[in-house]
Amino acid sequence: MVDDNNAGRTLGMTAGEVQRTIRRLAIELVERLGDPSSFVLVGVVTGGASLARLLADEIGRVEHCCPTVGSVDITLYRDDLYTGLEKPVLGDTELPFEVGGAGIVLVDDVLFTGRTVRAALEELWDYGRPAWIKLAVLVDRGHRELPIAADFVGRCLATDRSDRVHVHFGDNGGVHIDSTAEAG
Amino acid sequence: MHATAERAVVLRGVRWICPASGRSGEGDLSIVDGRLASQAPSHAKVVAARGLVVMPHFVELAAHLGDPGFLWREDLTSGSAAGAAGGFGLVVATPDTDPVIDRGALLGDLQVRAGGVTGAEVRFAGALTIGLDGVELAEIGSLVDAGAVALSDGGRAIADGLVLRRALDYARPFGVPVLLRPGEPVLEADGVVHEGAVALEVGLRGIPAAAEEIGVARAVALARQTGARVHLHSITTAQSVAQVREARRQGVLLSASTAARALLLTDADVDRSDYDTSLRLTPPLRPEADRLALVEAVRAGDVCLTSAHFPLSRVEKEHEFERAMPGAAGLETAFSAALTALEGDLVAVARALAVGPGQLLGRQPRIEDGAKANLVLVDPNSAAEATQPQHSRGVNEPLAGRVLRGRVMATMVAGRWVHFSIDV
Amino acid sequence: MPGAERRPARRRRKDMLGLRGVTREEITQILETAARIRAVNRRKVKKVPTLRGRTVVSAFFENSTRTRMSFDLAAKRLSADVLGFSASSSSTRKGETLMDTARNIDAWRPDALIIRHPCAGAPHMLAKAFPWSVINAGDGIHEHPTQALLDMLTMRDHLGELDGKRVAIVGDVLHSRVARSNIFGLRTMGAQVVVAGPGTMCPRKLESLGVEVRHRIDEVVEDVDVIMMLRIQRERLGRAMMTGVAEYAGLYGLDTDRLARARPDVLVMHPGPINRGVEMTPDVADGDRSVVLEQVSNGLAVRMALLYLLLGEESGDARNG
Repeated sequence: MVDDNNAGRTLGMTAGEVQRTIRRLAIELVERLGDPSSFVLVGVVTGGASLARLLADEIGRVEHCCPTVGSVDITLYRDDLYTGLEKPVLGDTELPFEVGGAGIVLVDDVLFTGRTVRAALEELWDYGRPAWIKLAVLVDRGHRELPIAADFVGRCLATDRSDRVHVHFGDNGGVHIDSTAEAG
Repeated sequence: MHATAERAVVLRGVRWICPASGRSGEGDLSIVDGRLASQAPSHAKVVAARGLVVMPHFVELAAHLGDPGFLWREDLTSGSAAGAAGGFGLVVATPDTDPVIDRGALLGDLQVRAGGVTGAEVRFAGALTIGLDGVELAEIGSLVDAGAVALSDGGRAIADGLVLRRALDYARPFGVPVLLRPGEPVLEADGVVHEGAVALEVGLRGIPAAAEEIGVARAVALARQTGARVHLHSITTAQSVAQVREARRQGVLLSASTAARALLLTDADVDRSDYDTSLRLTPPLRPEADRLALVEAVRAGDVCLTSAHFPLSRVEKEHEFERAMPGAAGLETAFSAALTALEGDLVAVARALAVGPGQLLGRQPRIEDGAKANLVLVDPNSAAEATQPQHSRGVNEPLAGRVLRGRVMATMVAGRWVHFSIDV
Repeated sequence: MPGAERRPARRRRKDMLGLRGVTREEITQILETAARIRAVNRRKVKKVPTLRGRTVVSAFFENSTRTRMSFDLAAKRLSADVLGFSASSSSTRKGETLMDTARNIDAWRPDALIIRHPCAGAPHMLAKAFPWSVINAGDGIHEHPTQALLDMLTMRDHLGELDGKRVAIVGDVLHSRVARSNIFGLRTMGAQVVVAGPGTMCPRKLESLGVEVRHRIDEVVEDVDVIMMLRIQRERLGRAMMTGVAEYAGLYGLDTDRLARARPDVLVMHPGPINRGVEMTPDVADGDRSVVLEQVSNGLAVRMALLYLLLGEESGDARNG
């Protein structure tokens, strides 16, 4: 939720930086994991799903072979008790592959407390037992509340706990950080 | 609160109306030795009454006072006090008690106990049939001998036309009015609200207006046939009103009354209140068009009013709508309900609540020199929120929370104050 | 737009007592949530942890195995604890009032009560008196909101948006809570409803609910998108409500001939269980226009969606990962 009257909006990454980082992440994935048909990308709805698609396309450009892409919506697995006023509509969990025995790269745009990743892991386990799961994120903004770390990181950004981080892809995209006037 | 017996009282600066004679006036009204007088002795107690109005006190034709058998709902004392607080100087109790008042000895005992109440005078209506079952005639003669001022079906419409006819034939020579709730029980079946658009929305079974109208038609025809003095004590529809008017025009000895609350409430209130069981009533509340017809009929003097007082406890009302016991308390709000609905027309209210019912019982309530001091003192201009009953044991007052016009300030029976909320 | 946040509908509702007065926005949210959540019912592990630790009590004061099982399963698939309670085994036989029973249930601090009761307004009475969510599984002849919701979900799956669609409801509409809830819900969603049945069951005054009234199935079968047949149980009707079963089937039954005159893609629906040979011939009941089994599986999804929306944690910004 963007409040135009708050204390500040800073630019964490420009649109160009985002695109270059995605390219670099794609190459890193292939370098460390090998053949794109040996792993799948599963994006966490919603921001992670877009990023997973973009990474897959980039890998395809480089290796002429796209990994399978899926998505996982964690709404029904959340454990957080935010006092927001609105209930999210459920997104789609689509896993067009056999989860049991799969090598999965879980993809999200922002890594923050780690609770989303925990929920995604729990949900994936209800579909089967993967061979391994690694985590790739565009932005690591710190403030972890669980022992979770990303295996592939685009950029580390320093933020306050109360900041809100927005990621947009495309030519008019970028990473914006909104700070509230009185930071807790 | 004590009922005081004043030998002489002057109501100073009061307005008075006497609907029976059509006269009214303003000034000082004196009461000496239980009668209205043109002047009072100098030691008379003076009551400041400017802005207040004196009328004959109200007469309730059919109140459920749960003695014997339902004392948690009401007893003679609380019922008498509730009546007096509502401006009623006489309350006639219905026979739907346990046991039913269908024997002279029982009625006699009750009348003796009723002699001790300090509020409104309490009298009794005897049952027309044994147990109010509508099958065998009750001991009508001994009931009247024991003091019954009326006979009644106790709100349970007699389904068998032959039994009803015989009851009217038998009762006629005794000269007391027969109170009937017009209805056709088979058509009423398991209905709980008026059969109309509201019933469709709230998913409750309906009681068709035709059920009451058939009952009215039958009562009219039998009243004409037998010559009995019949009073239909809870009509609710425009058609019923029309039938009553026509019958009276033809000279049939028929009268009718409706509940004061029916002048304010409609079936839509059941919907608005989200199934509030204080609106679970028999007969049910009707739509707006019927409500308007009732108001008009009362204004014109064709139909009189009762409080249709049926007090119930929390336990009896804390049920699903259709399983809650039907009935609402009303003695303490009848006057303000009527005055509000009739937009301040005090003469019409007095005619409907005092003169009509009084004449039915053979009384002649008048405000004039020499008449017995049976009167009520009201403030016609007060506007206050109605509450749950203060004197009745019932907790089912459907008008609670509404702002109503008019307030009973004091009630006097035979020269004795039986209720007062001002310094008398 | 990639990465953009969705704006979900506001949900502040405590109970689901009926569809009358429920907004188009709310109905849409429930249906969309149900459409998504049914994916859980197709997985191998048909359970999600969303309502773990919550307590759902189901109190059925009227017989019903199917609806009860559907609700129980819905709660279990969301990992809630379920307590079942049926009138035959309860103390209502000993004369305990509904409020007393509810007070006892309240002592267990439930999060939700699912209630089916023969009296209209019973769920409303409890919803007013207690802090837990109340879901109406059928109150007398008044409403059965989850049935109408699953019916509308089924319609939506086949027809898309319900605006402007025509739905026929055939049978004892006057005494049917399924019909009433469907009428309220469909009209809110912009559909047109036409009802057909004998004059005792489909009186003209039903027009005050905003529906067209007809008295022969032949008059409604041809230009509707959905034909919803209601169950007729002669023994449960009041006195003199209908003539014979043969005449009823003749005037109001759906058979292959009549179905042939309907639109080729018409949906045939029924709340179940079907009286084959009365409302519908077996050919029609089991034919390819009948979506009755979809209704059942959608019922589970709708009930899961409702429990989730009423009891799930309020969640904030989806980007707080």
